[in-house]
Amino acid sequence: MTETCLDLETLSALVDGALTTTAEREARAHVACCPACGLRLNEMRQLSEDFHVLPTPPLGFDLGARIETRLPSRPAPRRHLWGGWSSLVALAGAAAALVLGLRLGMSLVSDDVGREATTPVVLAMSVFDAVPPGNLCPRPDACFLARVSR
Amino acid sequence: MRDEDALREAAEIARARAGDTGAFAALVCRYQDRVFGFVLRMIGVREEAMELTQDVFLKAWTALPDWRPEARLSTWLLQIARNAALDVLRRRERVGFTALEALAEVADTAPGPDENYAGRQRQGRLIDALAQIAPEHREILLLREIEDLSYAELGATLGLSEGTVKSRLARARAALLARYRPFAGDADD
Ligand SMILES: [Zn+2]
Repeated sequence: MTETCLDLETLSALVDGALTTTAEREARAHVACCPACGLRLNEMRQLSEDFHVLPTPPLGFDLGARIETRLPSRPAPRRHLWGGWSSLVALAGAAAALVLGLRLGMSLVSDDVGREATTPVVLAMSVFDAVPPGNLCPRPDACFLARVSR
Repeated sequence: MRDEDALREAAEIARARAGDTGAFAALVCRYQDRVFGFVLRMIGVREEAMELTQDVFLKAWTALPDWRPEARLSTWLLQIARNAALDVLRRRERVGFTALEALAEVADTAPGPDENYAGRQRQGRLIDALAQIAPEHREILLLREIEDLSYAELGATLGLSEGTVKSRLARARAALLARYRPFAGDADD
């Protein structure tokens, strides 16, 4: 048995069966020989039992039926991550505007634009898939902008 | 929960998430007493607890699309209930509502009709003591002892590490035992 008495946390964890196997064995060995710890442990155990026999007061009416008609309607769940065909077009437009803006901006602060233009990067959409708009993406990359280097 | 019950519940949750109010009503029916019991023990006033239980399920309806299957639905509902109950207690604190005012009502509603007199006395003492300890101690005891949440579930529900769960439970039990001695009073009950 351990020399010192069990602390509160150990006793409490012992009631919950939350100690490691070794810690539990040691704690039980101590409690078996120490009336003081035995009493404290029994009090905690009895407290648990008293909670378990505490009656649960029922609500007393069918709340589901009462609130069912008052539930606000839920917006239809979105089936497509990007909101479908029209969003793709809008997104492509936004991307094109961003690229153009960046290029114009760069041209103000750098004269290397001409050299960069020899390795153009073109953004294009995979809009010619065999899948009609609104369907789930057939491949993870099919719904996103395809990055094509030339 | 049996497998078939779990499957049926999963189907109800899926339908409720998609907007089926009837499926949600079935879920409310299953959990309303647990949520109400917890809320009543937390705040003590029956009328207020009834209203709060309704609020909890309305919130749950709105938040259901965010629910993740990693959490049991019951635990998730208790988390919403716990936050709502703490809000009520904080509001009361601001207007100076005392624990003793709530206590009188809780004691009235506590014992079941088929309990013997000594049992009722004992339950009354436990509920009185429970109403007097700090809300953070009360909630963790209710969730552990009545709702049977594991340490991991307690941690997730209360936003605590498992180490803190362990120490808070120990302090909560000690605080309750300072006001409620299970073996005392049996002789004169
Ligand atoms: Zn000892």
